Amino acid sequence: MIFHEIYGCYYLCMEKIINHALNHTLTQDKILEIINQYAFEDSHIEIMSHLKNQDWPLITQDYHTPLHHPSTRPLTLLEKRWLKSLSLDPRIQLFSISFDNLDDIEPLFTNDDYLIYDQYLDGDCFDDELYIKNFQTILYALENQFILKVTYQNKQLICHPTKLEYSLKDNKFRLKTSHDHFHKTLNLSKITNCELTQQTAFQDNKLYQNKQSVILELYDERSALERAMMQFADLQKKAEQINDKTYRIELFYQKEDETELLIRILSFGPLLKVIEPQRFVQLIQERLKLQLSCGLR
Amino acid sequence: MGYSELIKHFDRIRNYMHEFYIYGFKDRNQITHKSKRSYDNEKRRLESYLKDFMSFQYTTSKTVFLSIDSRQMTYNPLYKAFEAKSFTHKDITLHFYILDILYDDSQSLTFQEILNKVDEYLALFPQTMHFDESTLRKKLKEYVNLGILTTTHLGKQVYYQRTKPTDLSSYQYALSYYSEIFPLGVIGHYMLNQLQSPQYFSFKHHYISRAIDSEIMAKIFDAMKQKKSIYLIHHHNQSYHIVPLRLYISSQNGRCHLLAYSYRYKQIKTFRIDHIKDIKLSEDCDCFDDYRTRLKQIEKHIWSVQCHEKQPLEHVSMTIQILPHEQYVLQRLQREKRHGTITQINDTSYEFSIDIYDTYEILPWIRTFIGRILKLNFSNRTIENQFKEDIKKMYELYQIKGSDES
Repeated sequence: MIFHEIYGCYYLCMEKIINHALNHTLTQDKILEIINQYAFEDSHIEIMSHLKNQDWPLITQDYHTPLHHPSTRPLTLLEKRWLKSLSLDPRIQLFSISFDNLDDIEPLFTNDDYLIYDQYLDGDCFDDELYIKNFQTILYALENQFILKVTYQNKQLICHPTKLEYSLKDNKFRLKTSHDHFHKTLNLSKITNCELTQQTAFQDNKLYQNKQSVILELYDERSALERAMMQFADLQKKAEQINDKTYRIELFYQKEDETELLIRILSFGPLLKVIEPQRFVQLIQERLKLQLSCGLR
Repeated sequence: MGYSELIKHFDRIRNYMHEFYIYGFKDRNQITHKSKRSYDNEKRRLESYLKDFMSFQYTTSKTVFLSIDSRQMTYNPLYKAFEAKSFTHKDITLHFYILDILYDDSQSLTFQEILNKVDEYLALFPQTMHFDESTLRKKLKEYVNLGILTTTHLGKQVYYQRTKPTDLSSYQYALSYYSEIFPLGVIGHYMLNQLQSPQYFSFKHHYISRAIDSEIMAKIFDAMKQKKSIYLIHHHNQSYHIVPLRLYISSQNGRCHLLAYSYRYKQIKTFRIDHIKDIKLSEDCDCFDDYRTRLKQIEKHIWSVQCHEKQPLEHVSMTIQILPHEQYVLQRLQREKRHGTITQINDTSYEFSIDIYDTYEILPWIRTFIGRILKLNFSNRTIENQFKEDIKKMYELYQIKGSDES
């Protein structure tokens, strides 16, 4: 059963609260801090009330507990079976982890049970030794804040790794890097060497901040509205109904993804029209002029 | 009954999450699943669960939407709603008491021993909660079924122990990756909650809304594992008796479909997961492997998810212009062709062709080559003509000069 209270944030909060009570570090402020960190916006009302009224006889009025041991929960069978499914996925080799403890566990599902039917065919080679080594070096650098020396398409780069970005559609990892305030994206499969250099504190809050927007008008025919809202659900967006069949949609995207977005918009044909900015309108017009010159009849 | 943040059944918020996340422009009057009061309560719940992501805007009326740039997310915020299952005072009390009494896997106690210890814990509190034997027995049985506890039998006596602990620390990177990209990732999210997990991954083309249908997907996987047929209740309340064969997940629009053998139609049919209201497991299906083999045999003719086994295949071919210096376009064609074939016609043109069940499904992809399409040849002429009409409409929409003569 996926939706079960033992996975819930109220149980998680109580686990943390009990552990503080065992360490004699529990106060009302600490309880509120835990609730704010792990539960929902209104949870403090319910949890505080139940603790105060001792509906849950787990914490006494003076912030002690009758329990004797730090609270931990063993994994459920559902969790173990999901982990077992992971062990069957080809990408798991990247993480070099052992699943020996799950020998007697049945997977929750196998690769025969599902298909990513529209994934691109030139995904990364996840069993390539160099690829795995580079992947793990990058993860280590991210965790321990190392600067990397990377050989990429025969060029040497020195960079801060900021994120390992994965696309299910491309089935590829890309390394997002930062150097001298410039962001660069490197395809992991094209990195031929990757080494740790010096360790340095680093934080990049500007990744993905440089957003552009495009305004579209959608004519809802052939379920275009639903298709568009699903298709663009990965992007931040605003939508508004103009009249019975017409909608205005604003999409926010990264500049580097502009060509891809252009193609996605084209896939809707005449049911989706770019309104603004004019520069984007011109990009569509150029494609249409080229199409006209193809003489398709 | 007053408002409560927690809910007994996830179904209660499932439709609202789809509405707020996918659409985002409907106001209180346009969302008509249930009463306006129900709308207010579910909106309030979702605002509480997803506090940082809910937004609203005013145009003619107030609309609520979930505003999420999935590329900036290192985890799927929709998983948080799965942490809202309601429980009783006795549930939460017994949970912590039992796990404290059986604090490691060397502790092996009988039912009576556990009951006595529960009473010892309760004695510290003036307003004593009382547990009758059946409540404790039910909870122990539930935890054995969940896999948290195990039992051993010595003579007539049953002993309870907690199951062996699993050290998750070596799994933390894998969990933070797979919880986002793997089916039923919410289960990985539950495990991540037990770790201090730094987030080093980000995700592009990330469709997080699949999470909303996790319960349905889990039931389908369960049926497949057991090779059972199911009764699928559609959101319009029709019921279908089917054998679930494979989930078809899109990485390009976030949709998920079930391909299943239908007893009524005696062929493989397609069902959208977000349109499934409920699933009930039925009897064992002896032909499960045969049906699955049948699906594998026709898979190369399914462009996306539609298969009409009893209808003839439709031929689709497209010739596009690729100049010698535009090898990246050829690479694009090769990686996106699925089961299609590519033939070089001359130095500057290539033909893509495929035989599929439903030409409609491939149209959006063909449109992405607008600017290069030299020739189309669809056996379904109606769709070919419609495609060409659509291109003419686009010329008009964008005021392309010279299109009148085309």
